[in-house]
Amino acid sequence: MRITATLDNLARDVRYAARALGRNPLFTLIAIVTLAIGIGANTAVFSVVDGVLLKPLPYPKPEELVSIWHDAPGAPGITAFTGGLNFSASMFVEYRDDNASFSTLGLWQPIAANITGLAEPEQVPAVLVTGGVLQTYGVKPLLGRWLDEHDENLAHAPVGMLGYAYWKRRFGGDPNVIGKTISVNGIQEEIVGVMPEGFRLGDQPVDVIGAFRLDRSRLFPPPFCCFGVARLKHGVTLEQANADLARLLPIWIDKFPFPGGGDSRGVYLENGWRITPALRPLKADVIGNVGDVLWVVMAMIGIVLLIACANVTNLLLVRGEKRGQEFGVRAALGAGAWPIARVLLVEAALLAAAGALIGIGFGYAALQLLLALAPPQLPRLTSIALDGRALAFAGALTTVAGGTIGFVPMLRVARLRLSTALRGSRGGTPGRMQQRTQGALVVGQVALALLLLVSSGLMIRTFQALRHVEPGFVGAESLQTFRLDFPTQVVPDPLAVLQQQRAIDDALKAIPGVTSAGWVNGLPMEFLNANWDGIDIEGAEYGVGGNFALRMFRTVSPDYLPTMGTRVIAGRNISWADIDEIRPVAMVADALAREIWSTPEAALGKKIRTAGGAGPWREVVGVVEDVRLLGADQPPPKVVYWPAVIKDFYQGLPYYVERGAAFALRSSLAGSPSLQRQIERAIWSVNASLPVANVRTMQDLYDRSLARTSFTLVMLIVAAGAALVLGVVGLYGVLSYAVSQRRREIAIRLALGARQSDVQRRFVRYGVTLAGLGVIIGLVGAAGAARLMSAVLYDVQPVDPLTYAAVATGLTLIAALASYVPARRASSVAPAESLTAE
Amino acid sequence: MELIKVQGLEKSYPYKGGRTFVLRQIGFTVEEGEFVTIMGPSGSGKSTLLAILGFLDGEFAGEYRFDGAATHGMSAKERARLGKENVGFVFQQFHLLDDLTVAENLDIPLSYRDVPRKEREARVAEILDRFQIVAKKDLYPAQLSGGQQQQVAVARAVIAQPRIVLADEPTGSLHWKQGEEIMKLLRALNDEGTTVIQVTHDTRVADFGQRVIELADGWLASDRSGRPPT
Repeated sequence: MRITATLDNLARDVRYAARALGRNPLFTLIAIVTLAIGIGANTAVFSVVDGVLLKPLPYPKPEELVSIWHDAPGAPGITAFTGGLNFSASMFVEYRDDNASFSTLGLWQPIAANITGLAEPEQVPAVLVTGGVLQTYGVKPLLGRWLDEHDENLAHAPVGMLGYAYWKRRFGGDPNVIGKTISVNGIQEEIVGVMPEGFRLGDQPVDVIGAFRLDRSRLFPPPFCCFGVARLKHGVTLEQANADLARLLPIWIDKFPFPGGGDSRGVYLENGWRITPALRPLKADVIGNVGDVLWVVMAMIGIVLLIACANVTNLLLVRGEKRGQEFGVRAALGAGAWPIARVLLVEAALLAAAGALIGIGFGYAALQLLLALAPPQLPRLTSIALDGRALAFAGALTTVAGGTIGFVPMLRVARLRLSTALRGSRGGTPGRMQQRTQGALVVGQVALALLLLVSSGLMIRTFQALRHVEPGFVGAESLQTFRLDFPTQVVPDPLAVLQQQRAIDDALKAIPGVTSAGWVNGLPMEFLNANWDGIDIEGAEYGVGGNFALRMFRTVSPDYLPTMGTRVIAGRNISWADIDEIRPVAMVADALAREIWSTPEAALGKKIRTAGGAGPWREVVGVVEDVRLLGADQPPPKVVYWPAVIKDFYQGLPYYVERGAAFALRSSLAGSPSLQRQIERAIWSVNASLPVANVRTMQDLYDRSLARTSFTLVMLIVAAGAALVLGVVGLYGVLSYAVSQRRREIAIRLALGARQSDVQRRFVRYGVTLAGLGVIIGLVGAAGAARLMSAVLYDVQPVDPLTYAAVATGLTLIAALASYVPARRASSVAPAESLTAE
Repeated sequence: MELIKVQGLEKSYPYKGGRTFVLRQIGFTVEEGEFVTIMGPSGSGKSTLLAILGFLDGEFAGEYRFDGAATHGMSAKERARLGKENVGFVFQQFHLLDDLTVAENLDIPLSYRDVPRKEREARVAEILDRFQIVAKKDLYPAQLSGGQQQQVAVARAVIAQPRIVLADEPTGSLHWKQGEEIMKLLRALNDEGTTVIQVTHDTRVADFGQRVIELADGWLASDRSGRPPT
């Protein structure tokens, strides 16, 4: 009975509130749209945060999954490049044999897979996996079986699996695909399974999964080429597992020594690299460093909702004041405090609910925009959706927003003096108390808006700083790039690879409009084919006991650096004669030359070789400017540039040629489909089985490296823009209200001889005082909040005086302008009319 | 039967370190079924006294007994309950809720008294009939004349069957013809046994009551009987 009565009362309150709101369409519209912006923006950003950071990974018991990484403080270059030291096959074998922490573990390596024989040659995302990888992830195949330890054996016929999308695209979803063969990098692999839709290796989409084939007898400590994944045994912690692996490292180094001897233990464990295990939860690995950005954006968007709530609260306060009499009447008719509060709460809830409904629509549209703007490196894009979790979040926000905007007006009503409220305009105006509350809300809004404006200002300064960075190449928009891989099975002889690369280079240069072309093993900001090693210097005690710094190695064709516009600072470029005669020459980056020989000029004529004494000494013939290979916001690595062919570079290899080549050519048509077609024709005129991969301009790569910053910048500018508009509207609204409340006073002042400018000044001063207070509080808040942003800033201090001064001045000026409009209206009050109206 | 008894009633506000008094040493009794008019010039404390009698204002000194109960010692909540059970208000500005129809305005006092819906509907229908405003039940206040609005306000004041109706300048916003109709209504209610206390400046309005209490500068200046109770 009581429940029925409560529901009855509630239904009546909802009906009456809806009607009351409907009868004030402008107020209702402004309140709903304001809340919709706040709730929608928060729902959209939450969808991204939830999809990327919060949702569990789509594998069974994902909390047990770990990535196998290592720390190597003595190898800073390589660990900075990959975010830790990767996994080697020999390590994997040792860990698999003797660990006590994992129920399963495996090793995998992304590869460029040239697929031929199905249609035009194409390069697809592919990985090689040992047994244990798919078993660790635990996602059952849709068809066939997983690859397992048995498939690692070189004596067995090569086998592979297909990803769902590729199976659908190239095999039409053929259920009888098992047993068919596919040519991967020239090797016929039997298809033994198909993975289900949506399966990703970490965050890596895969079209083809091949078997990582191992010969235990030919494993050495390096190369650290690969990734490791494992499933912790029940109850085992990361710390316990790290301790377990630390126990195995000396066993590993003893079990897999270098064939020529040497102090492997000293190089890798004791004096040199000092490798220690550093397992990470797989989820942390997948998410990477994007968490910082997303939390900053979420916090900023949350502030927009706060400002929106403050605005609507102000609107409700004004409305509540007008309704003081109504509440007095209700009390006189027998309403207690709760039924009156309920009227306000129900109205607030209705506004919030309507705001949420429209906001979810906004949110959906905003999410599409966010995804379009999102950096391509943003992980777990497929997990991002405006789903039940996002809707539940929107529901929670709506409840909080409804409670917030209903609370302050409710407090005001609780303080209402009924007897005076009933007397209406004679004395029912809450007056100063109301003004103070509204003033406080405006101060808060301005403070929050300033915080957001400072944050976006810092990002603008970051972006400017990055734009002014000299990356070490020029005219990125006219540099067309693409990759070609020459698998051993397709072109076995390294010199034949060089011959084909050169023939393709010539064919590219013959394309009309192409002014130059060259190739390298890895482009700037591409994060592919990084080759790191130490160097020995003739006549210098360097790298003794394995304690040498790692340098990034690049192999270049003679025209690559000129094509990129990378300047030679001293000496000369590698020439075609160096290539033709396979001369032992090298070039080094400016920073490396300065580190070792103090000046670029001093480097010329010096001799270097790979650490450990392999091969002949090679003469430094040139020094080139530094290139920001790791991104515009990262310091340039110290690079050694080797010729595209090197003799006796590694033991057992008479000639070394990189089989993965990134070509760059300069043309005004870069980025156009017609140029791409001409490039394909040029390549296939040399070798028709080579797929062209990663076709993009250097500008694309450059923008991609700035994508995290530009994404944060756009998000903060949108949030700050919304905050500015809402804050200014709030200030304008409060002053307009103050003017309307004081028309009589203004009229009397004017009638008594006050000048219009006096009245205007009075209101502008009031507005600027409120804004000034907000600015002061905001500056303090911004100084604290900006420190949280340090991870996304570049070359600008969190407390950057210029940004703070510009934002504070700008905001105060805007506030003065927002105050001037109502102040002007105040001074235009006609005394006779206003006094008569009173 | 004595319904209201006030003794030594005072109301004051703090002002410049001291206090300014609105009511001073007021004392009188009201019998159940009386029709009392409070008169006096502006600022004499009439409306303040009415608010105290109607339990809208509990901040006063002195004694106020209602039906024998000492309300001056009660909590705000207890006073509010007493008001809800016994008092109906009529205001000069009618104070109908603009967003509600006539029927919904009449329903409001019942809803605050947790009267079940069926019963509320029946009582609203009955009062609409009794005040002959059935045809207006779905209209909003803005669609009614001032007299009609006050008619609805009186109906709303009595729908919860209070023992006493307090009317603050009930005809103050009406021309005399309309005001007279309202006073007839109040008189009829009084004739049926409802105690009425009204505040007015108008002697024609006061003539509808039996007794006039006059205030001046917050003091009780006179208390005289007019028309004998029926």
